[in-house]
Amino acid sequence: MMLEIKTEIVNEVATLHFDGFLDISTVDSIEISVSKLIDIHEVNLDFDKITFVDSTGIGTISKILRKLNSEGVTAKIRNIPAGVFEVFEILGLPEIFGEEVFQMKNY
Amino acid sequence: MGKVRKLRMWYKGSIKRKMTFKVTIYVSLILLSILSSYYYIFHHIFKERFQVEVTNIAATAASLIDGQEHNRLQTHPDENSVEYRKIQRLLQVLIDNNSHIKHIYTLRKLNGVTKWEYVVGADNTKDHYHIGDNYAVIDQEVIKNANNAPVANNDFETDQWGTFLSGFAPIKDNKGQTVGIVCANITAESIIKQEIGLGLWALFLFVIGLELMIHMTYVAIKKSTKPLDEIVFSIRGWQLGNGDLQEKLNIQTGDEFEVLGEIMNQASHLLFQEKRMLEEDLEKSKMERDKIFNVYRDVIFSVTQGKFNLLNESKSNPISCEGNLLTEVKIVQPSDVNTARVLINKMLAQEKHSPEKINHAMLCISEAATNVIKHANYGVMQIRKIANGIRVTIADEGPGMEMDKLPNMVFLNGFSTKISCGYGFGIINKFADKIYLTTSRNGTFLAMDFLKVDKTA
Repeated sequence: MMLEIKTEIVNEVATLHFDGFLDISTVDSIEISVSKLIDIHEVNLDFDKITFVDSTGIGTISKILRKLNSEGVTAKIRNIPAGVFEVFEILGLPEIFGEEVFQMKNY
Repeated sequence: MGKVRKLRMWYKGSIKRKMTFKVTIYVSLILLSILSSYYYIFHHIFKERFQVEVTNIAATAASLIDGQEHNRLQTHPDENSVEYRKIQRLLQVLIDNNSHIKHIYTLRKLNGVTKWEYVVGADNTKDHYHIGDNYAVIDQEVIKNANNAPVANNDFETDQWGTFLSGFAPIKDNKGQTVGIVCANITAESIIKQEIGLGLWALFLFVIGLELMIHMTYVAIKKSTKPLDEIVFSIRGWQLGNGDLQEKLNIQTGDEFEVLGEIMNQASHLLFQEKRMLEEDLEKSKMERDKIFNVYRDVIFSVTQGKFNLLNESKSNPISCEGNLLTEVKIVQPSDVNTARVLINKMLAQEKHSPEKINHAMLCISEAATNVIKHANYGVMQIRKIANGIRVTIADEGPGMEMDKLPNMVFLNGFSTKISCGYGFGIINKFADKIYLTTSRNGTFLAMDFLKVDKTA
């Protein structure tokens, strides 16, 4: 199991629960899952069970955020593990999309 | 269709062969037409000669035969009579002395106009006819003319005895009246025999002439196309790349080949100069490239405080061989990236590196392996045990990186910059303790060291 995605939709708010890692072998599945969402005004990406993300994964996240933003959909990434958050920071995603979009996991 | 193609295939090749082929055809046609007219002319000459001969013999016989005696055989048709015997002997002597004459006999006109009968023949005609037998006239006109003077048939005539050329002459009595006709035959065979001899001789001349012409033509063509061979040989030398552009053709034929040779010499001279200039430029640009490479290497080395080492291609070997090989993994498909990460995780955990260090190393390996998948399709990752840590090397045969983009790749992190590829290098530069990189058109080699002792310690 490399990456498992569960989608929950409540009142036009979609929550995607991820379980696994995000690299070149799994980025396609996350893009597909997001592209399937219709009539949604808010998307939450739950990274609680994400074990690893590299720059390819970050690149895809960035692409998805840009797309959702351009469609007027609010997007947030929640429960980012510290090790993964470090990569987000190195590649400057909070700077581009705003600190409030990325929420670190509480230990 | 197939035949035409086959002929054309044969026709391909050297000019020598083509010209010999053409000349052979032309010469054959000319020789054949000459020989056939020669044969035609000689056939007529032969025929005329035999016509004269047969007429002469008939005339001789007619002049020797006594007209009165011949006339007497009309009233006493007796083959045992003195007159008959005398005339027969006379004819026999003539036939014996002339090998071409097959038959000789006398005829006389019956009371009608067109009917004729045999009278006396040479001994060899006895089986064929006898005195008083009907003679079938083939050409009335000739017989009519033979009443007045010796004459021959225009052409061969065929009767039940064979094909003959005949001559006729009138037998006259003492009053000058025609009382009969002598007819002499030459068989076609004796003429054909001579003509066959003539034909064989013509054939012999044809073969000899053709052989001689082809040989002479071949020699001439060979001689005149020799410079062409030289040119072809010389150009083939250039084509193969092992020819010497400084070598000059020396053709002194005083014709187009000499001009061509001079043009070739000029062209090769120009090519040689161009080649030398290009080689100089290449050398210069190589030196320039080396200079730029050295600047990049030094700048990157000092900015990273000795962490990032750009290497010349040849110097990468000791880096790739240092220490002991622990494991190796092929990077071919996306799932191999995770395999590589799992491996480095295991290896570093065995070496008791900190979890943070392991995480960072996994990130570096993920970036390097992903680069192989994205840019090179195939690569080999090795994990080696070195003196104070682990070295991960990744080699591929991809198109290599562009040197002028390298500083951006190494020093600019993240997506705020417009460079979308190579942000992984920023991560590698941040988390690996030592980096060795060599890249060229032949591929890229990257080595990352993860050391046990913290470098700040």
